[in-house]
Amino acid sequence: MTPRRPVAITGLGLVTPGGEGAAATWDAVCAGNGTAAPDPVLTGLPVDFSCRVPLTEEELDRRIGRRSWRMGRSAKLAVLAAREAVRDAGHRPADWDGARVATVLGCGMGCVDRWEEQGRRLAERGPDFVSPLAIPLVLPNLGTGEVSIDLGARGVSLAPATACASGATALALARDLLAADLCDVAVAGGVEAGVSRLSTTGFWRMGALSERRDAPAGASRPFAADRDGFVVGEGAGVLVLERTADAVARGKPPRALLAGCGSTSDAHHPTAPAPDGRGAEAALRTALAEANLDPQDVDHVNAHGTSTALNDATEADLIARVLPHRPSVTAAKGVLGHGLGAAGAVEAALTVLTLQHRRVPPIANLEAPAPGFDLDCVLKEPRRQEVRAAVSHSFGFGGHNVVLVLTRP
Amino acid sequence: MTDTHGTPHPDDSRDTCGTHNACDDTRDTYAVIRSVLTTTFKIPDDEISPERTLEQLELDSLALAEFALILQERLEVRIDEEHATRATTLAQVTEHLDILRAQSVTTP
Repeated sequence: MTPRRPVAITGLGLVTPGGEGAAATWDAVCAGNGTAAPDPVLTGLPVDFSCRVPLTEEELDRRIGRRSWRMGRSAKLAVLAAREAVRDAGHRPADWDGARVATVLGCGMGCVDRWEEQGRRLAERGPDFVSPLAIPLVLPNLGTGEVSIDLGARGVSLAPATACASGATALALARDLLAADLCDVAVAGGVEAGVSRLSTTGFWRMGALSERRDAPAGASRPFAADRDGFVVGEGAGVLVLERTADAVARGKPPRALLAGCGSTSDAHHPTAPAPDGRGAEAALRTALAEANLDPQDVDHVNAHGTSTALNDATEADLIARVLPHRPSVTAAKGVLGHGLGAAGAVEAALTVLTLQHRRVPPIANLEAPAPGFDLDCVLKEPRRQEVRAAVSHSFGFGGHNVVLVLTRP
Repeated sequence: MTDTHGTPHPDDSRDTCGTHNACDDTRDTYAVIRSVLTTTFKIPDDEISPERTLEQLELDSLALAEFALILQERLEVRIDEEHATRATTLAQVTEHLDILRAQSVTTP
């Protein structure tokens, strides 16, 4: 494995259950309080709570403008996060060469709530009452598509689907597109608005969800002994990537560098992580080798940390085995829930903010790591730490493992 | 409660996207059209006038199909494609819908 040239991260955009904007999300994650709450959409179901972006559809529409009528919630979240990221990077879509701008936004499943609604219409009222928007709403690549339209970005456009690793896969792919000179700017990340009655029930039937209905805000508790599953979330995380020399040339200091990416497959089971964690370990070691770092150089881990029994056990074992020097560990899903296809990008953005602010947010709802987890989890309040190199883990159904190495410029 | 198209939905206790086409009085066809255009399609009220064509209001073919579906739900008559093309004015849409509505009342 030969080291790869890092790329610059020059802009961040976040729309999450923590709030609208990267700053609001960062504040919410640092405050360390769970955002899960009863969800009117899920009333009457075995799991009736979720983590939602605190914006109504009407508020989203006002921000999006005239094209909002045709967009599902995920496309709207993607467009808002992308606008923020591009603005933050100091780019002006009016000025750039759109043909050299790539848009790569991972997404797990499109707007399944609206798809279900159209299914009901077909069953109850017949084909004439199905909206012509049914297909555009359910396509998982329409977030990327609307972002490219909104920004006039005419280069490569992709929506990688690696389930809960999609956002991280998008960043790894964007890095490769820059390295291959297939674009000059990559607007990359992940988006998901997958909370629906059917999707939530489906996750519940898999045994993946927390059933803590009496105290939803405390339901997501990564690495806790009494964790009982994840909480479905939503959101969008977008980062602007460009070659470091280009960022320097236009006088834009990078927020952080994406120094290495490792992507592997377990080739084991559609939904269960491989118990030996070999695939995840290979992804971590590949990402470190690309960044030309040794395991002991890792100061901090932004864990996948879903709060499910299996993920957290496998991941805790991975961290303790490959990074035995006990780097600090956080897991944003305690606050934000599981943003599915958005999560990997949201967490990469939060890792960038940890590098910049020298601050590691705490894991919400965690008193102490479960017995047997040899981890230095950050508890209760943010920890000040000089983080020079951090890794962000993302694992997805399908056996996808993606690890990103982020470093200070 | 309503679903996305603003139509009462028996088994649905929620509104997935909150786009209510709030115009309770459906007697005035033009007022219903105006309400759909401002509420669903976010067209500023001051852009809407009877002589404007659907194209001038930036409704593309996908939007026209959605527009026709919403009108069908609100007014309970189905407008044909040829009566809602990009070249059709709002006055023409209104006139055609009024004819259809009159027919639907007289022919049970």
